[in-house]
Amino acid sequence: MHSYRIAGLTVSSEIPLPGARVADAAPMPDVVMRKTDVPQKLDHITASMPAWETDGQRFLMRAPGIGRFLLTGGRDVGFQAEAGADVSDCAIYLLGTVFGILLHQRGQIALHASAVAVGGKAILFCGRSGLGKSTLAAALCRRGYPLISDDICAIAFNAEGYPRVSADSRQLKLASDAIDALGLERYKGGAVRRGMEKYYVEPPLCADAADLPVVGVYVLRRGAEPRAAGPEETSVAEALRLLQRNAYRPGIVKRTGQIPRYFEAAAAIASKAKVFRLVPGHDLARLPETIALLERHWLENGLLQSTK
Amino acid sequence: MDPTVQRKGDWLSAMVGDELVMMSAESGNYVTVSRVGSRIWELIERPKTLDELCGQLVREFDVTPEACRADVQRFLDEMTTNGAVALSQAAGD
Repeated sequence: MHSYRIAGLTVSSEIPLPGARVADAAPMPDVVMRKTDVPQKLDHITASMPAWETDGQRFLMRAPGIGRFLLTGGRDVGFQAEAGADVSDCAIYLLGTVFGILLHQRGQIALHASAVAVGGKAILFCGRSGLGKSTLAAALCRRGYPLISDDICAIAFNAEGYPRVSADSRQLKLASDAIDALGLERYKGGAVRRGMEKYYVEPPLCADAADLPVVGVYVLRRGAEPRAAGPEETSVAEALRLLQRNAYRPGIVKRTGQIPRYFEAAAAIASKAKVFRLVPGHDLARLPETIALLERHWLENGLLQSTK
Repeated sequence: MDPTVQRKGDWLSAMVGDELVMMSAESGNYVTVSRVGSRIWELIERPKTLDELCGQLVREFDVTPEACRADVQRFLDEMTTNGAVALSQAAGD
């Protein structure tokens, strides 16, 4: 069995999970992932879509060409690969969508976001795939801001209602041109998938705390170039709408009756953190400009000391 | 005529700072409501007549009955437009 720490949880997996942070084996891991026979369907379904169904207790996911995954209690994952499927495709699925559902089953909030630490506090970047969350997080990490998480942010609330994101420290997944532009060649690992242009990249710097308080969320928006004015403030209603839209797998959140939970969580996040819109621009060459805008923003908001 | 004011539709609500944010479970629309508005929303968790509502608010907030009624009417108009509130005439007044 392979041992990892993922989204703040100890995980024991029967197959290797490339990119995940390796950890010492835990005597009683939070999550166990095993190869097993997985049924084609569940009885007494409470919600479903073509790719998944749930009976309220268990969650069955079907990934065509990859396999089937059965999730129970946010703790046990059984998976059965399709004949001829690449086991590394199962691994990618386990680290992504499957883990998002596990977090739901554990009553946590999962956002589609990357996060870095600024002055010991968490700054999140949300947005649709392809807008540059990971590249921006990688660029900031290169600049000295420890990486907290990439792609999925597990959020839990402490006794006082403050949102905290778990440090995940999984490897980044970056395109070759981003790796070159950021000077991350020596951190470059294997290809994520055969034939895809993304590679695993070891983060130069990882946050060492188990979790950090969320103080700012930037929602990335499409735009050719960064706005000179920098990040834009959002109204309270818009902040909630943006946060909810950036839940991990919002369709699943909606169809499994989790909207009230996510609404409350979004309100709690918006109460304790600031939510902004940010246009990072398409061009890798504009990244330093975006970073400068962010650092100015952080200085103005007291997150950075002026000596940095 | 003293209409009855009651909530309508399926709304989630939560405080963010001083404001109450509401989201319609049906339409996904958001409405932001001020402190007074959020107290009105709270009070109409069980239907109340307009007189009862204004009477309560005048006791809680430092405002004349006339100003209160005008504010409440304005709030109710907006909430009716958003589909969050329904006003009905009590039968056999």
